[in-house]
Amino acid sequence: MSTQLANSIDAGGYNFAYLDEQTKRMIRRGLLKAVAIPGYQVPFGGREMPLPYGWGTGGMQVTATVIGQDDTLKVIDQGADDTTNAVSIRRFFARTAGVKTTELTTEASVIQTRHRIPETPLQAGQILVYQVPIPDPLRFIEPREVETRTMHALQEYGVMHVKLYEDIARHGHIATTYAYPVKVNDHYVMDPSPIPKFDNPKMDDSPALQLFGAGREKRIYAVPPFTRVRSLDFEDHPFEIQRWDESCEFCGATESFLDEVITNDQGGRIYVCSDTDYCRQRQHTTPKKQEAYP
Amino acid sequence: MTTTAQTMTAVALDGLCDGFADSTHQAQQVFRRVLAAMAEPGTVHSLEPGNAPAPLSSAAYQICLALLDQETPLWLQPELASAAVVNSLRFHCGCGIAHRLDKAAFALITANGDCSLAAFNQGTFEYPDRSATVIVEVRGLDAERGENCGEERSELVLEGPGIRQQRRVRIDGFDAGWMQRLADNHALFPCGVDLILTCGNQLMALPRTTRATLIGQEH
Repeated sequence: MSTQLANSIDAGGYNFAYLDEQTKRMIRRGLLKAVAIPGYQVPFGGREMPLPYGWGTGGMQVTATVIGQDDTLKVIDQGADDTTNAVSIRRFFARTAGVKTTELTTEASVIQTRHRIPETPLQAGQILVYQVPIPDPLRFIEPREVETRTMHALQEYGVMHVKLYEDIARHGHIATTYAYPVKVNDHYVMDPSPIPKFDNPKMDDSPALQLFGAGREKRIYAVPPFTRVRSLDFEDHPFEIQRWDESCEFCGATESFLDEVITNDQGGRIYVCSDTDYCRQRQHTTPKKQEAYP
Repeated sequence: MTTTAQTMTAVALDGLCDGFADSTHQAQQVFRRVLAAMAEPGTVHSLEPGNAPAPLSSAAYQICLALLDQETPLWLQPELASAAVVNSLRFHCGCGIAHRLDKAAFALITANGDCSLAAFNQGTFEYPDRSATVIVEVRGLDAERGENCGEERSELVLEGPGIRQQRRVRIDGFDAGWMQRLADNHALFPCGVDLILTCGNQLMALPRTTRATLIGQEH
């Protein structure tokens, strides 16, 4: 018994990956049901984590539950490995679970993400864990949980199309650009978390397992590999992703999701890849753009 | 006092089998294989070999150790409910033994039993996640297509989420009756039970989303 405890509890006095075993079992059972019912939100007994709601407590609980000693963890926030949220969460698991961490998408077995899917295509066997603020796409239209549950059960998704239609009526096109609702396996309408709609096509038929955790709302859901994920649209207003006329200032990428960066108060601006690992890999393999920014 | 306690222990723990030596990491490793199996139905995953109370397979026992606790009533098919199995699971998992099929969160059955899947908790349309998970002991599992398959060794074609186009598997012990049970269970979506098939230290999952047809009887 004492060896067992010694093995699983590190010097900090916490259980392996912070959560206690009973909580992990509860979340594990929830995850299995979530995978068996793609896109359906499974309620779970969310625990308080040592950081506030909105910082990825749901994703962290899912990661803490799936991760093992042999895993390699990558954490990204808006595509970047070096932002506050990503650094803190990566350190948290390095400290509480002692797992290897990486910034390379191809090297990671578990990737926890806030608001992006890596540009590098995911591989079979990888697990992508999303941090989710509001898991139910119907919540903004119908605040009552009892109602939205019935709507999901009956596939009563007309209001979701009305919401997109209102965009067209107002702006002439679907103006929703992130958290763009998707239909999973032709049944449940699901919130893909606040990823840009640019990333929606990557969810469809992905070889990786996608898990979603919402800490404050206490919901888990999942998309198994090779599952149909379709963005809602209309025949005459088909789903489209963002395109840029510019290319990345550092690597010259034209096909990746670009962030706009203001460089001075004269209106100067550059565009850079939001996925830092993808950008770095490209900088190694492709020649840099000629005009470097001052 | 001491004598009484010892006698009680001896009676209550008849046939007790070892649990995990390192519960944290072994439970995680077993879970990850079950998760991978559930995410890609029809793939066969091997667990570390280990002891199990007769007549349970090592895989079924390890899945129970990893997932069951005081919140999950377990239903056991009478053929599997030996004193060793009941005592080991109650001791290590602390799970209650359900006496009614529809009260169980998990169930352990054998493929040759005549247990109807419809008798288990199917979940509701609002909460389909509340349905049972049924662990089925089968005589053989094979993810690859072999040459000599006997009459009873049915070859199945699987389709659904987690499967790129189609996957072929052979499950020893699944007869026409089982094909009907799988079809009926699939038709209940989003309700229905999820199956984990076990044999020796191997496992395969057939969640409710998987459509299964016998070779030669497709469409």
